[in-house]
Amino acid sequence: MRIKSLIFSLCCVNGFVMNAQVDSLDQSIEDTRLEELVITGQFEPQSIKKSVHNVRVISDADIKNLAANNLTDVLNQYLNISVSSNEQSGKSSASLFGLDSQYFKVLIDNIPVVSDTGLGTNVDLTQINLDNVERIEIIEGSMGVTHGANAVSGILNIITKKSSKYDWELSASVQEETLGKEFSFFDKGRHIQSFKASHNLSENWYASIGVNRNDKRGFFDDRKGIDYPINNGERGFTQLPKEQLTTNTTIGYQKGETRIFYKFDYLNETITFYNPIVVPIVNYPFPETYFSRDKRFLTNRYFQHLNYYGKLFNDLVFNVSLSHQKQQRDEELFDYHYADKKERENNRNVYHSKDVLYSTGTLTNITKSKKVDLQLGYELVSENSFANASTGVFLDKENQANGIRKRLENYDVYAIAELNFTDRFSLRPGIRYSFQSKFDNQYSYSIGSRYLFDKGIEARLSAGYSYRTPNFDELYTYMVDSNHNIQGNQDLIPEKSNYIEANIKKNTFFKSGLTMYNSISSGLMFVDDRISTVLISQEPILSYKYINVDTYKMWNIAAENRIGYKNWNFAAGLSLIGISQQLTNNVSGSTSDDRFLYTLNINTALSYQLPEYQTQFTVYFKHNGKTQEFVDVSSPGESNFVLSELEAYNWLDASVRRTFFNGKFETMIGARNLLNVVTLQRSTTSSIGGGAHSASGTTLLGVGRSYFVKLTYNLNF
Amino acid sequence: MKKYLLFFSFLILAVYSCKDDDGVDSGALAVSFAVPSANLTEDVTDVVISFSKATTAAGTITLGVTETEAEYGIDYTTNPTGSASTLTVPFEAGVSKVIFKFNKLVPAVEGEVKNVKYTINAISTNYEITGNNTTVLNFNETALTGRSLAPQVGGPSQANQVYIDLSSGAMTTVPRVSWDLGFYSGNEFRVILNNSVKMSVKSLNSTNLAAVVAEDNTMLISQGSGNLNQVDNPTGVITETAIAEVSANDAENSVYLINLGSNPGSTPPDLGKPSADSGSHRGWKKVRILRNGNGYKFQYADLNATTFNEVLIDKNAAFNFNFFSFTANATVNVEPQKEKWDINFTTFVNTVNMGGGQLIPYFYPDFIVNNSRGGALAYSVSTADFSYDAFTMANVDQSKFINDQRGIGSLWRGTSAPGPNGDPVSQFVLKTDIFFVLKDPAGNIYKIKMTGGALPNLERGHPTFVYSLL
Repeated sequence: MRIKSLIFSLCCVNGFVMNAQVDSLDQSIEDTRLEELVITGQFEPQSIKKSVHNVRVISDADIKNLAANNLTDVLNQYLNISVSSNEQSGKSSASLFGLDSQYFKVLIDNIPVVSDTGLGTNVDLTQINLDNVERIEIIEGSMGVTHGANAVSGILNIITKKSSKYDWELSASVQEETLGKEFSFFDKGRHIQSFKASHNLSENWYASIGVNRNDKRGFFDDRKGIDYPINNGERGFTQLPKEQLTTNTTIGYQKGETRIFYKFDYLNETITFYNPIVVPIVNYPFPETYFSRDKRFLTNRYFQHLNYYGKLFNDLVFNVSLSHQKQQRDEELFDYHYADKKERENNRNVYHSKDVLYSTGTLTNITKSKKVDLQLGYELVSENSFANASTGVFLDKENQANGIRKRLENYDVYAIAELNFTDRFSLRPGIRYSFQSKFDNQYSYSIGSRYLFDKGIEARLSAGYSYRTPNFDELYTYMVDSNHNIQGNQDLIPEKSNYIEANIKKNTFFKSGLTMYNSISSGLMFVDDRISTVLISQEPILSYKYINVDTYKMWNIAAENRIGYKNWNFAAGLSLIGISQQLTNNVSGSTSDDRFLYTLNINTALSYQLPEYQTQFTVYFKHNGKTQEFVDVSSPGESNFVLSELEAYNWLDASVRRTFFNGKFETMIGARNLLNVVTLQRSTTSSIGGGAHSASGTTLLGVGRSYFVKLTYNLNF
Repeated sequence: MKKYLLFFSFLILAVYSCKDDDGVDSGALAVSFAVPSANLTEDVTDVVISFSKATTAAGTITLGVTETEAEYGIDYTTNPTGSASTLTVPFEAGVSKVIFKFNKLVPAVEGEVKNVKYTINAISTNYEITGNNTTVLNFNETALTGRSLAPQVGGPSQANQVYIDLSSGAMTTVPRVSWDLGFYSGNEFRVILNNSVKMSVKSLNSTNLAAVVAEDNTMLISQGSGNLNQVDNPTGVITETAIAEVSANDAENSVYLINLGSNPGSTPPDLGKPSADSGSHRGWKKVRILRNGNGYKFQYADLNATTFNEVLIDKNAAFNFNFFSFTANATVNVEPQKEKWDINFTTFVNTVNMGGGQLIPYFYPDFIVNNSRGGALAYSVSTADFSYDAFTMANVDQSKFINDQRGIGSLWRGTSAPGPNGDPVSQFVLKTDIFFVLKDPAGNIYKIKMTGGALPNLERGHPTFVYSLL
């Protein structure tokens, strides 16, 4: 009932706004186009208004106001995305419309970025540094035609800076942040240092480099840290210490219609796990000494991207990207001896690695007509992936650990037409065909339309079909012994997804200087052949196998509103997501309840500028509604699906930013998680996967209320 | 770019400088007697003084001497030579122990308390005096006051049972598969199964041993399967065996079908995993047990046999049981005499509640049984209540000595640890927040602390413990 009334009021609010606009028409000056340019999914950079896709933008200002060092820091505030973090390792991933990061693609300058186990997918958001970012563009929904496999729930494209209006641009900053109540300059808290330099070498050449070090010490909470040789479970950290070093280098060339850039990004990350188990070494007659079996994960990522944009035969526009990327996560096991605080028996193995050769290119302006344009594109992907046996359950028939190494390739071609019937009405059909090395050849299609009404009203309607390819766990898991039977399935087919979205938005500019933006959209998604571990037999032991079996239905409605007046800016959004999933228990043939379970999210942002003091105040608030799902807790002889519920929580960030000396010096203080949400309750526990694996009743959300100070020195000349 | 190169080189240096391959660290510099007491069974006994780390320079250790009914030069001498009150032992540089010889000249008479006690008073180098700062050398056989032992249970397959006598430090090692049934020597006429190999037994409600019998796979014990009334009560209480008491009336003694359980694994498992029950199945037997005066008449055969073997087995009051092996086709020696062992390192079929309130048999590697039938009883103490070092006779709670052979059991170890992402991983975990108190058949009370169960590389089946007489 609550949900219904919320939808009702949501619609009313929008209706009210629309009416208010009608009333104020007399006062409004003529619509000014918002000349915010977007790139993602476009033939050419074009105004967000003309885009057939409904593009959302996270601006440089948002990134600044959130003191965001990586993607996690900004996406915490994004309406439809929920960010979930692994409480121990501090890895975080995005889920959109309730679908996890396997369905959501992260790109940098239109190139999917490599992760431990995916290309664009399964990205650890904390590994995406935002130091050299101009803005972030997000398109929700099926983007399989322009962005290929796994662009099911949406894409996020990070646009990096590739030019400067200054001859030299130098910037150095230091950010000190608490982790909850914990801070000290060396052993506690989060310490960020960064340096950037860019220079226009000549009229045509541009170069920039940047270095960022993000040293997040372990979050102790009630744990006792590294040197605590007592076997009571208190050694180590509640959240593991993580140290990241990222560098980025860009070289750009521009002459006439030709634009070339080359980017080289490097990431080095070290996460250290301090085992709570303390092992004594017998040294009779002397007292025992102690050691612990610790491990660290060392990640290196190289990202290279060469892009060439230009014209052929005067008219044809081509845009070609070549990219080589590699991410390798090593696991280094070692024994930490307490008496002399030394590591011994260090033993390093590859844990995950992925080496990607990638190229994509487009050809546009083929028809030379304003009315009808055609884009032809290709995407070539060759991924060489390795997963250590201990990353999943990869055993051979003799129960020996068996790492998985596979090369997967796909060669895709696509064509999109943009039909501009009038200045107001555009239609954008597209189709992609993908030649796959591992799976049957796949295709996706989409159709989008946009109509521009008078008075700043825009309407969009789009539909698309795309697919998600199965991952290593789903394909190659194998553990069969006297007590277990869990098997992957090499005959899995990609999951299929259909998405349709309608959107209306309006930009209004009042004579008084008041600006207003209102948008309401609604989407519907079906995912079929969803892959799930299914209990396939109970005798003689419980046997599980990955099968294309489940269905997933999602519908959502979202409203976004922004008002700007003088020095005030206010934004409010509301989204309701309903998810229906049917889980199947193959043994009993029973299925779970498939009714829609709803989650309500609300976000608001308020900022106020005080020009005389060059100061800006910003507050971000997000309400994450409770989420529910059915889980299979069947036991032998009895199938049972129970509703598991994760409680709602609110997230509040605030900051004050002030610049001095004409912007040369910038200071910022702020707080994250002001409402101090630390743990969330999950109402049921589940036991899935062939034995004693139970989820804990509480989920650690973060480190609690924390504060930051950021000092930046900018030198532009 | 140069700057980065420099930076990276520092980074690489920093990562690699962490690497260190010197040996296991052994704490502070310290000196101690190797054992706190010893019995002088030979004429010449080596007395060992240990250093925690090899000496860096030569020096001397000065020992104080306390004589009880013994006199230097008459009852004993030492090499190097000492006196009735002091002994100075020199040591070289680069040694991890130093030995002096104790020559016993006049043995003790029966019942006499006669000993020499040495105390480390000083050392010429900067070593700390810790651990056993005294040692008592008994001229008579006297209960030992403590030491460290490493029972050889045989690595991950834990193929052996090791019986320990704390008062003498003796360890008796027998293969787990060396016996099948134990015939009780006490008042009752009872027969136990070798529960270290997952045996189970079922009455066939017949007295005809010549009848052909089929195997019954429902009797096998594995994770989640097995039948509670087909195994002996894990408490070790003799009146609760799976085979009913042998009746004086032969007609009441049924034929039993015996599942002989599993052999220890023969191939090495993944490091960290046990393979105590992963070997081949040991087969089936049918048996019938009758009384023979104050002993047993034991009849047994293969399942498809129509004839059977018969052996007579007597009771021997010095032992808990007389053991029989189908492999040897004869009685075999297994346990030491019932007053000559206190604890047994073995594998064990316990009963656990796997949910649903129903107890089922469950196989445990790394199990410790106390000799409750011989009178050795044990209980556990949390370090939250007492530290091992501070625990004294005054802290012993006699009411906690109950008649259960699982007084130590599996309480000393766990098998899962939290991994990096919070999920549990399978790993042998020694519990360091618990120790044990044991009363031996002679009434001596010991405290026992487990100090290990797996090798540093996680290979299981390598238990170690220390104990001390209270």
